Amino acid sequence: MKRYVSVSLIAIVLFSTLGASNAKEVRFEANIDQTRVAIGEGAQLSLVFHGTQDIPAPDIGSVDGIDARYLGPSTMMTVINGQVSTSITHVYTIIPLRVGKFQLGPFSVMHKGDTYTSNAVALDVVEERGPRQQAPIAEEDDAISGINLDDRLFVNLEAGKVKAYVNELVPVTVKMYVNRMNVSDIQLPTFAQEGFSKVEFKEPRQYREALGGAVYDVLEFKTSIFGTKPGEYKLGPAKIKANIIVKKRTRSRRPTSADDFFDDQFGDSFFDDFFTRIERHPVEIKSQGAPLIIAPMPPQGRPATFTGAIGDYQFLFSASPKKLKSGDPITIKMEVRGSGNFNTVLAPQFENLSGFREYEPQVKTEENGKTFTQVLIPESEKVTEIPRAVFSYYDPASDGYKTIVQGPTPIQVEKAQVEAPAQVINATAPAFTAPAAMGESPPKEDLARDIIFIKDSLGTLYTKGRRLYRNPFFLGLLPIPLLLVIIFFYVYAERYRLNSDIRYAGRVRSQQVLKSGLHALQRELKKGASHDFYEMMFKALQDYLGGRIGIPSAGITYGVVEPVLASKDADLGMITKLKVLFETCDRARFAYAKGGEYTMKDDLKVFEDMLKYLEKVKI
Amino acid sequence: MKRMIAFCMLAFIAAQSTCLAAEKAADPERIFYEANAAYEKGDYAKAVQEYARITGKGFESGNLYFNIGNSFFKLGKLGLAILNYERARRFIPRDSDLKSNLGYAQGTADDPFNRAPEQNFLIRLLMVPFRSFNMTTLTVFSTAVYLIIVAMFLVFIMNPERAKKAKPALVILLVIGFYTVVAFGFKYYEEEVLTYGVVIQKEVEARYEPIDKATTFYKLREGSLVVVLKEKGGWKQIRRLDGKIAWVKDDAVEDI
Repeated sequence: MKRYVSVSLIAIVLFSTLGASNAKEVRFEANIDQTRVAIGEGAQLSLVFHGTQDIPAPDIGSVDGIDARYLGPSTMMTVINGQVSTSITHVYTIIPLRVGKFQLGPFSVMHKGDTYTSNAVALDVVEERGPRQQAPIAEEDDAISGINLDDRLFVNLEAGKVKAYVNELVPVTVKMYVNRMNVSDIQLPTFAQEGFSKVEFKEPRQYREALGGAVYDVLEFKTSIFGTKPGEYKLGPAKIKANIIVKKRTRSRRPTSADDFFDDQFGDSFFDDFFTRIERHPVEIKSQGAPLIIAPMPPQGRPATFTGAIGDYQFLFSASPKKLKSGDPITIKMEVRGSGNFNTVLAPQFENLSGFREYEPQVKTEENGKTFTQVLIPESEKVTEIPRAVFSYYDPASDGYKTIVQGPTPIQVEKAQVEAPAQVINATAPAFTAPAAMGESPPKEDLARDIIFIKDSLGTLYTKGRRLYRNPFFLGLLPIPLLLVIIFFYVYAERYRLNSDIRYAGRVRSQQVLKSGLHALQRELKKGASHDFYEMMFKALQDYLGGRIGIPSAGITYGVVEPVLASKDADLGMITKLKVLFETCDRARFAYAKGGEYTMKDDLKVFEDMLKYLEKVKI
Repeated sequence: MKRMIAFCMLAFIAAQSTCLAAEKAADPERIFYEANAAYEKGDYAKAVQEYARITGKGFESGNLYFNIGNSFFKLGKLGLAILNYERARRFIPRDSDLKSNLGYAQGTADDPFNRAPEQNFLIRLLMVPFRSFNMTTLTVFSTAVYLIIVAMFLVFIMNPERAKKAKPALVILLVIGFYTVVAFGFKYYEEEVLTYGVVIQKEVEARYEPIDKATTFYKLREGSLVVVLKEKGGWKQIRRLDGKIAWVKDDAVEDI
């Protein structure tokens, strides 16, 4: 709701101011960025309407010898002390076509019944530029050297104090002022630091500042330093290295505006990029010096516990645990917070640490504080408190030493359970007193501690060095179950494949036939029984080819096998031999044609060759 | 007949070896009771001598090292006491008496580096279920898991239909198996690959180099646990549990 109200208010104010601005008088003026150009070069004509933003681009007509092109409008609205001013600028490129003196304008525009008339601008067109005009680089270099950098670009060094004590932090500010210039690659300031701590600047801040009637872009670097020895010093001069960017135009020019500060070279318009060349000129800008007196720490009132800390601090103290046994550690946390030079803040000091074992504190430094974590170990139960911790520092604001004391912190230390063995062995059982009345908590029993008695039996006896996991026999047995799994897996996978993959099963069967069939044929050959020999050969052929082709062996004939082999691009000679072999077998089987021993031997050879060949053929 | 003779011979050899083993085992038992008697009389030095006779015969046990540790503790030799408790821990890690005595001895030694964890958090977490296992128990457990997995695989190979139903059980078993193997690996590394030692002298100077005149890096207290990295010319290179490596005389540290 609040947001809605505030938005409405802003809108009302805005519209009312815009309305007020509309009611104001409209002023029309014409500007040209350069009054003297050479033929072929361009100038920029700006027609500015102050007090309005809704006047369209005026028709500037035509001038003999001048070519004018409209580039576009740009609007501007500024609010200064609540006063709103608006304007619209229509920009034209003017390109002269012949030498001569021209007058552009006055231009007149009629808008909403009102007529606005501008001033006239003169343009001198020459044949060619003079020597300076023909050498833009030299011209710009001259321009750079001609710029009064003292006014446009300078650095100020400011020390926060003119007098400080040794180790006291002094804020230092280095400001870089830039007016209507492009500056890039700005480096961190440097200055001589003899007699002072190391200078480390933080990230700079950027803002605008009016100075002597001019508006400057300011880059502000801040740091703090402290003097390490007394004396009169002069800080600085601070030096900043940077590059001044100069835009060199070969055709059109535009005066550098304040908005160009730290401008990106790619941020310009297309036309600027096209006509502009960027050059960087390195410069080192020096500031004036700043006097600074470093005084020694005053000896008056300096406490014995002062270790050099200077600033404005708070000292926080905590200890944990506060109830413990002797020999157990207590963690002490001491935090020094505030503002000042933490480089010189050392751990607060304890007044008397007798009865404690003390360890070096661990230090953690943060931006606005320093934490010291220290371990103290009470050596006996007689210790009742952590002694006072004292932190002293010098406060420049009040110009005096201050001391903060924390503690003493009471602690409860009990007798440790772990004691010397001899004492424990002889320890007698503590007296036990019954509670005086019901509901009263029993008195705290102080139990002794010692080792537990020896074992009565040997327990499991091992032979030295012999362990199950080192036993070679055991280790040798371990892979056997795994091998068993692998073998089982192979066997069962094979069996599964034989049952599920007909082609694979046929191929396996063919291999078996190949081996057993050949042996049987050789036996029959020795017997000389040709009928049985060819019967067996035919059966072997059927079984083998049936297995390979994947059809029942009983159905295998040459007529079945031939198209299969032909489709697999089998050798024609082999197919023919197979045909002959089938025919021979058939003759012997059915016609009882007797083959001699040599014929059978030859046929067996053909059979073997045939099978060897078929083994290589993918069927 | 031949088979009968061979069987009789084997039985005879087996009986003989059993008798010998029994005789040998009985001997340590007797010595152990004598040593215990000496301890009970307060003659700790004699007790140590008697216990040492058993180890001299090539036998060892968790209870034996526990009793040796106790004897040394009573003799005021804290380093040797801790050494023997640590040895006992490898056999009887679950034993509460041992935990108590070892903790007490370490507390008495008051060495801040004795309790620094050698293993990181994840490994310690991994070892939680097996902390009370000694290496032999862990070996038996791992083997049992391994055999169960193998048996399951065999059943599943023979009956793939059952495998589909019992797949989650197999996955769980495989995870347990993997976990056990990893734990076994860490335990093996801790006890078999790393050589731990205990400082057995009152105060030992650990030096940068294995030279008498070398700069002392730090001092070790009696009973401190260290890792022995290597030995060289009468020196041992050791690593304290906080990772600092130095050299000590080899008689100052005894391997567990």
